[in-house]
Amino acid sequence: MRKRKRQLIAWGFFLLVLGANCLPAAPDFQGYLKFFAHPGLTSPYRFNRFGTRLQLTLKKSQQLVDLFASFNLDLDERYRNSSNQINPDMMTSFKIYPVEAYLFFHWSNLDLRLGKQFIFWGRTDWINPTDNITPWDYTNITAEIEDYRLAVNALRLNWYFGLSNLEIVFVPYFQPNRTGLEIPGAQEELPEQKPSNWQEGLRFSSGWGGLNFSLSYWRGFDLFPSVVPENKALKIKYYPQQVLGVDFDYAYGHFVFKGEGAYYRTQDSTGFDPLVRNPFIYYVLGSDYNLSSEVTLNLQYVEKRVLKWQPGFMSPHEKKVTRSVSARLAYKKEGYYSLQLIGVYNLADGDYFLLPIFNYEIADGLNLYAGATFFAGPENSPFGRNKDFSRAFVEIKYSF
Amino acid sequence: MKQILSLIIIVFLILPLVSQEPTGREIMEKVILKTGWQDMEAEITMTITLRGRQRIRKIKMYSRKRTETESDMVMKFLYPPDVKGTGFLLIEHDQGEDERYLYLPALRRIRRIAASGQGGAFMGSDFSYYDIGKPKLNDWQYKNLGLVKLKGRQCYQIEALPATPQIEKDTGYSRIIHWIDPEKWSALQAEYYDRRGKLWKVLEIKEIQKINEVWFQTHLLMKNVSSGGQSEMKFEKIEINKGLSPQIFTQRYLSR
Repeated sequence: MRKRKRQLIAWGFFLLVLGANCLPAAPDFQGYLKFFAHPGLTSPYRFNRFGTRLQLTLKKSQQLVDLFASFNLDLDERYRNSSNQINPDMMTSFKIYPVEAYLFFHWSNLDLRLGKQFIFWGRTDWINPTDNITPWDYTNITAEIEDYRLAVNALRLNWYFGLSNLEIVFVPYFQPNRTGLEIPGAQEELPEQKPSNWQEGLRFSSGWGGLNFSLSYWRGFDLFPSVVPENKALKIKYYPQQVLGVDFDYAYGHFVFKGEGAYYRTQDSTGFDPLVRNPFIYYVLGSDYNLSSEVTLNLQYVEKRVLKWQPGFMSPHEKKVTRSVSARLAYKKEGYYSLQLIGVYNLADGDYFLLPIFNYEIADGLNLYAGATFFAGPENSPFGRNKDFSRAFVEIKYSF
Repeated sequence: MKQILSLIIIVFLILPLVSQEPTGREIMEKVILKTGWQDMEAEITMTITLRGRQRIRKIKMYSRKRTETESDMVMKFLYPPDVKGTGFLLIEHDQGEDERYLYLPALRRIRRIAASGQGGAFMGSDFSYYDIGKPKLNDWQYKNLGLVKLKGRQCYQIEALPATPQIEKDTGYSRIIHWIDPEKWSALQAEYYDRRGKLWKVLEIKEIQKINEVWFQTHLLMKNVSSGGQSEMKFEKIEINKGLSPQIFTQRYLSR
């Protein structure tokens, strides 16, 4: 793991030096300094975090190629209590790591992005069945996407023709979601690093009569872990899967209708293996609605339908059909403050996730963020089992 | 007899003048459908003042006429640093809804936004999205209220009323009065009335420049009568008819 981190830093540094020396145009430096406090909300407060972050971003452009490199310098204090201990175990650390670092080549109809980058697919809000490339860090959900999504090393090619775009993505090394899953004695087993385990996919996007749509295919690994008993021990594994997806958006008056759906072809094609997820269909349908010029509401219906359901061969936590609703209410007084409330509620288990975010713009480039991440519900429900990660956050950020 | 003859001569002299008086729509056609430019590039500095607090936004703007009556516009934010890289793309359609997209670099995603709601404040300023875009001629019914003097200049005063209740709802304006300079075919001032008929905003054109034989408003001041705030927009580095690539007006360019 440490070796891999060193490789990533070296890769970013290489791109930085290469770009800074090869490109004739003047570089554009920007970034931010922020102070943050992320106190835990659930006793015994397993994940308290306080710190300072300096982010430095270098962008250098010329006619054919752009260089983009963004690094975080984190001085971090984490108070980590295990559930049986009273005394906190404080860890202070100083870390430098790349957020993104890539070279971006652009020709008249072709873009090539090479390096560590965020790749997001899909059009719906927060829940994207076709988005299986960039992993999540569910233990670190805050106001900033850079905190809870983890950029991947990838090659991304976009070919533009007319109103259409064909995107091809290769991700050589698999990186899973960070779920905070801790099983004593269980060993994590990542897919072997070999060419046949490269993840790859393509997405065709186009537009017609005001409708934007995409068709996508992804061959990779499940970003969520599976716990499997092997030789009298438990292993945390990531199984291969293929995802065939479709998404669209269409604006009409005060509405923007959005939809996204995917068929997941897992390794258990018959449904008789209780340890591997069955194939399933996962879709989201919803709409943004402008309540006023400053208030937007997004409402979505989410359904996951497990296929090849074989009674007696299913995991006890699995349900044949899981239905949820999600909402995002956003109020924005541009240049002054904004308030967002994001929520997902599972109809069957009654568990939910809530993320209120308040942003106050103190001055140009100086912002205060405050909010909280709540996971709640029964012990074994998807959100209920994450309730230890519930926490508040307060951040002051100066961008330059 | 002499008096009757004089009267006839006067009537014959005046009649053509009266009949030549342009209609409100004809005047606004000349203002909105200006010929002579196909595309435009400029840097805009917007200063927003409210209750003694000032906010500055710097924007790079590209605009082009896609057809005689349809335009595209791209705006990219340069300042302040926390919104730098934010992009807005507007693709107008005569038939059907306009397309509006917002790119937020913090989210690394392009988000489609509703085609209506043009009355919303543009980046927290007193200009609405409708004010900064090219007005659609057919959205309004015009009436020429005659020639009036404004700051020593003869101007046509034009009353514009929303053509449909939906336009009124979308823009938030129940009535607009334009003062049009007949020499430059450009507005010098405008008054915007809210949906209750109360004066809401007053636009003053502080500067008009002739660029490539076309008159452009380069310094605008919008005073918000109801809030007491004001927003100032200054255009700099204006370049006309550069032959901007159509690729600028795409989602691809927006996220670059």
